[in-house]
Amino acid sequence: MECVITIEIGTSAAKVVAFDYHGNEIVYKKGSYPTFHPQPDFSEQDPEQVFITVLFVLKSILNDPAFNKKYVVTSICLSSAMHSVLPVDNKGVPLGNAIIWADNRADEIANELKNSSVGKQIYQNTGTPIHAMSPLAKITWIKRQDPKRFEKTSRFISLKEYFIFQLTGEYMIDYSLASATGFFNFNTLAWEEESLKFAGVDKSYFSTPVPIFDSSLKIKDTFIKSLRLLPNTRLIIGSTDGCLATLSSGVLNDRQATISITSSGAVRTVGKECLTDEKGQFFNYLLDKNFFISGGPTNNGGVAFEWATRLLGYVDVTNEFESSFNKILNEVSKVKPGSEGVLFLPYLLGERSPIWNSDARGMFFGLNITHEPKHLIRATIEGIIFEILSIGNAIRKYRSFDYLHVTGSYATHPFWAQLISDIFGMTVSVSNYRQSSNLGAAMVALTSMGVYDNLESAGDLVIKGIDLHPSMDNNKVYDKYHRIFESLTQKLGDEFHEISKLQNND
Amino acid sequence: MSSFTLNKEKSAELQAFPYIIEFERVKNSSMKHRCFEVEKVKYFSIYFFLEGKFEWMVNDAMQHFFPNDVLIAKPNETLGNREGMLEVGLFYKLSLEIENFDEDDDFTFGKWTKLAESDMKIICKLLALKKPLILQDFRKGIELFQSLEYELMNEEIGYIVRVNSIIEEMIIKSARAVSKQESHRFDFQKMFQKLDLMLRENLSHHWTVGEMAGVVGLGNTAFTEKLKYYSGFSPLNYLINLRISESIRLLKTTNISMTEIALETGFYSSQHFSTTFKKLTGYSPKIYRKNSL
Repeated sequence: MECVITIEIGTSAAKVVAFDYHGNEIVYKKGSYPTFHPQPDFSEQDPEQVFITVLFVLKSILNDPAFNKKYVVTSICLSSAMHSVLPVDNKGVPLGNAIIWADNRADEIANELKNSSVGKQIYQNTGTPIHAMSPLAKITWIKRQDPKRFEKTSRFISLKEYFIFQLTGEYMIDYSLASATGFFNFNTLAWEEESLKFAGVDKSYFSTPVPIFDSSLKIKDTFIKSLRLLPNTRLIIGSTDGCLATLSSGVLNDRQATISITSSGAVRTVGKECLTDEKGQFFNYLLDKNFFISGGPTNNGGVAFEWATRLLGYVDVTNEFESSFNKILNEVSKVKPGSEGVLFLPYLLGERSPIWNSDARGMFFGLNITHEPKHLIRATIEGIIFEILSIGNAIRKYRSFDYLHVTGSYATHPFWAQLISDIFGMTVSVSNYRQSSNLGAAMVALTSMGVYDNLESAGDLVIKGIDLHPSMDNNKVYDKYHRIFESLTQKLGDEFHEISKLQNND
Repeated sequence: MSSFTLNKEKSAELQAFPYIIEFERVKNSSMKHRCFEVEKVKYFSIYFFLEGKFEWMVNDAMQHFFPNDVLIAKPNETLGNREGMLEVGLFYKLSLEIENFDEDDDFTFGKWTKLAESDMKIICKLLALKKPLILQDFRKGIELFQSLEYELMNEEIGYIVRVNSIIEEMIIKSARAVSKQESHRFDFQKMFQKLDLMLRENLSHHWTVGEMAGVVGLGNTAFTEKLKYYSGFSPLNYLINLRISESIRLLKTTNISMTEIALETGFYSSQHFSTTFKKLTGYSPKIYRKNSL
């Protein structure tokens, strides 16, 4: 039977899934790799380890007789996390580790650019928020702060491009990943002059941008042999995790927003137009010429919940977090909406959308003598979702969605999904397939191969999950709390700044 | 309780125990100056605190010690008081000879112990890797040190076996406590990061699953299961991936020979390296190097 292989090069692991032409999963395997923090602000990954891990996982699927006796791989399609930067020399040899999205070393550079008129223009042309996560800020940082490394650098690529280079010997980048660099003009589909000028580089540092359906890359013979692939196996360049997870909802119009909560979170919408506002608060990534994935990311998703459960002693020391998950939610579901008057501002890791303030910090507000740990845990979850509602409200000024789709390990949990539905006051469809980026990649592959005419019709292979409907009574309660939530966030601007200064010992 | 010192050179009590360099109880009733500067540690030493509060620098970081705390200082680490003074208080100190101390800070204990070779390896690895090695509120310590003192001072019948076994027990209990400390703060992501770092720093070591499990304080089966669930890798496959990643870097960025790369990244021979490398990447290391030049 024919099948497609999808590879997601994610933040913590490489995930490989084989799908049949109807979108059914045949096999799933993953391999994790660590993130290094040589300094508190730094987040790096070892490019060789990422490459070897992908290869290892891929091989263990393809060389398994249970798989290769039954299935023929017709194409391989790629997905990856956005914003990683890996400098390589003229032979393609990495100069140190890859700097990944979570890295904050370029914070100052981003702030400098954000407040300038050039920065505003760059945002209007590239759609990528001016932020430390953006390769624009990171590459500028390398040029200014690490000139020795810069001098040896012949190209700046991402971990995905490094994988492609190893596999094919070519430097190529898809429009989606390119549109997350801050260097890519989404009108001309070419590298943006103003960004290049600001960073002090030229376009020779970057790979050739191609549409996500591109299958012109040829896998080297050695890999064809060692992976036991057919010589004509197509390598489809694919897209990024954020774009593909949104695609995997199966709906490509602006009536719906996709909410993803993993350790971080995001609200994403699909539209024909770019969503660039004055404040520069939304990201815009190009899925295809006709589709912009626009929205806002939050730093504080499941990570804040996990922090709170550990802090309040909910996680059994001998057990992993996941095994305590249901037990915790069981207890907090008995607490009334609004957590009997406790509010939580979830800004433990600073915040991106919608306030874009790396100085923001967390807070429990409204504590009184009767509150117990369970109230604080519920408040934590509500706070995380209030933040997502704030992002959603900002987007709704431009795109009038009234239906939600949820993905990610937290958001798809029934308790969380129902809270999202109640807090937004909207119907929520819960995706029942976890590897959403891989599913999106399969949709791109099957479209590229002509099995489907376009991405909209590829949506047919998405199996609809259950719909949850909001309780409007709860919604009214949450609305009152969310007002306090927003006004607290707004009022605390100066105090966030002061306390973070103390925490950083400046 | 007063101070005493038994010393390998001077004390007849230690004659039967050539591996004990020093055993003392230090009682300090007033601050002493210029007697405890920060210095490199010479011998494997176990400190057990009985009274007082001590603020010592261990490997350049300030640590606070309260009664019932244990500090195990190992050669090459640094220890002392920042102002060079010794605070008021009471503690035991036992210094032991260790063998086969190498540049990775690995070591073994001498023939005096009855520890099986594989146990010895894991116990020593646990003690070597944990820096600084501090056991808070280690209440078993008082009894062990008091019996050690009693046996050495009184030399009653059978005391040689007793002394050896008490010290053995101290070592085993410390290693177990280290192991438990790790699993107590159980957080698999952190554990994975820690394991990864440990493997990277000692890539040339021929790790066994038991040693890896020991590092994170789990039994072999639980460790393998949890790692597999969390990372998708069996312990040995994860190790092989790290070895190949590192060897790729060395192939690309250095001129060192295949044999050296093989040994440095923990393969048994260049042959073993070459087969494993080709199996995963499809290339022999030689061709791989040629292609990336």
